[in-house]
Amino acid sequence: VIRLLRIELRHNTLLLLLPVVALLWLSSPIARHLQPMALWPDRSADIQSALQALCPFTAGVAAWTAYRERRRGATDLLTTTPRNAGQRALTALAATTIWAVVGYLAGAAVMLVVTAYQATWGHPVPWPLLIGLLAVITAAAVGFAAGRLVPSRFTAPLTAIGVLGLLALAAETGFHHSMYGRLGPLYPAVNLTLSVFYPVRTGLAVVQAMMLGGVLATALALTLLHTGNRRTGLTAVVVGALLAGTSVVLVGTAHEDAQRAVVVPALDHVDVQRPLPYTPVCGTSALPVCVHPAYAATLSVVDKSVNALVRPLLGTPGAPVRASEAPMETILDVTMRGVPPELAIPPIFVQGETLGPDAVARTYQTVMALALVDRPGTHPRHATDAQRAVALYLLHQAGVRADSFLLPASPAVRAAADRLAAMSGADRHAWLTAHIAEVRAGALTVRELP
Amino acid sequence: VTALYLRSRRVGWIALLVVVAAALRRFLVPWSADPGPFTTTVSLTAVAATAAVIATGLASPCAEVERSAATLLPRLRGAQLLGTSALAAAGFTVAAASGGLSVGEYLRNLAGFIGIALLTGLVLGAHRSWTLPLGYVMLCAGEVDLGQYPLWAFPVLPAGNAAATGTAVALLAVGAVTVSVTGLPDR
Repeated sequence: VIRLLRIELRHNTLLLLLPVVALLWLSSPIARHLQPMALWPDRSADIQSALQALCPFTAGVAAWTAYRERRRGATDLLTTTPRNAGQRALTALAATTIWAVVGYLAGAAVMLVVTAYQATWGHPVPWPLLIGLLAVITAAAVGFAAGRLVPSRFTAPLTAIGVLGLLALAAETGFHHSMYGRLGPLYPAVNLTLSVFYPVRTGLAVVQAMMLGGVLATALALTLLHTGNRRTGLTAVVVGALLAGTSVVLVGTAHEDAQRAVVVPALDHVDVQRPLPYTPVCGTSALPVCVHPAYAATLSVVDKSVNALVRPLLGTPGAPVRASEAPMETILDVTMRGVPPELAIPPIFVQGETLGPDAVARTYQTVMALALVDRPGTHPRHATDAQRAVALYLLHQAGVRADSFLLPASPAVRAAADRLAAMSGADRHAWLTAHIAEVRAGALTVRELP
Repeated sequence: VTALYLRSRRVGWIALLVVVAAALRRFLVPWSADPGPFTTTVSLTAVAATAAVIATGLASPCAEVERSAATLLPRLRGAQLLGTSALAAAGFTVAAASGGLSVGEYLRNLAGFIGIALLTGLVLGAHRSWTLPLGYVMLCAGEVDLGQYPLWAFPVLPAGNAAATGTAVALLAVGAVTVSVTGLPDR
């Protein structure tokens, strides 16, 4: 068997495709964000998401390997050999799986080493890594079963592309709040957005592992049944159905907590999590900006961006006295909170000297500018024209272009922003002091702006 | 001869799979309406699967014998490509039109992906012609995730982008002409 496995390993197509997968991974958004700072929970989930590149190719190659006897017209010839057909099939499957696992572990090792040098918070979270590994093994088994059951020239391409489509579809529905979609291994097994503020919940990861285990057992069962191993195959079918069924039932009972993390009641008894203690790191600019210590390296960039925007409002009624990072699900939740008001901003991953790529930085700053001049809790798209005009002025004086989706500027809005910009500093400050409260309340129209 | 050729290329299966892919795309419209990396992936996998099926369908069951004995192959291959591509175009036109999607965008992407699959098949063999389209879907989705829309990722550009349409048509033309003349290696 060892000799057979060595031959299979030497001739496996996946070995040739691993560099392609590595290139895909290197060109992915995850790899482009490998520096300079990192959080362990996020990087652990990044390793899990590497399965997106590896699983489809693994499934395709496994399917391709599974029907090669038929493709080469060697089925009858091999039937007459003394080697057990099931053992022969499983050895071919093992070779594909071994290369897939080697590829996954190599990628994971690189990520772990890089992260060990960059991480500013937390510790490696093993669950996402395990889910990724299990998904890769499952993809090999599913592809192989498909190739055995439907030995056709179209099986490998359709299996590979189908696996990718299925992974993406499950993740997409998962991100749209479908609990069943979150069973897909591409959906992050741990809640990332708030991982620096709250402990990581692992219930979803356990359920994902059960689902993958169920699919893996069923795929192996189909291969075994096809090669004549009826008893083992039927046992594996039962195990697979039980695991997959249990995971579906468990995720059906799950709900989101206040931080939008998935709580599976049977696996997680803590309904309301206590925040993790931390001491914020604050800047010394006119408007102090405070960040979570995990993001301390980003303070200067965030501080500069926020202060550039808020400068004309300093000293006016209702202006924020501080900007602080707070747990929030999306950038759209940026708002003013409390008395005296504070600007609540999300933890921002800063790579380099800007808030991110141009489009991302524009979005962040547009949302912050709108939050400074609208009623707390207002969705950025629901700002009034007067609020948009003042926000547009804030962005322009900071040298930033507005995100046209979040801040659609009509000619009247642009004209009002230009009028504000044309005023002298003292006149503008006086006008803002007198009227900014009315702007925030939505009581002024764009024509009433100076 | 034509009937034997069509049977050897499983043209009936190709037609069925192409129609199923277009129907699946129509069925998945509600889950791929919002712009994003995953919806882009879902949207492009149907097109990539169709292109891969069309290219893989060109594999010959007896390549060497056929090449040494047959004279009509370039014409037959060209006709097969034209027929299956036309069927795919019709399927995706119906799927896009009935699902409220951009017909032009789908036809452009279909043309580009068929071209890529054919050119991949030329290098790696008909049976592996799916590999580059698969990787290309992931690359395009990655660009959407980054909010970048370079010309090389033509499937994520708007339907009216002339450069993207030109790229897709050029890929199809080069792939179709080359493959019709030379065929795909049986690897």
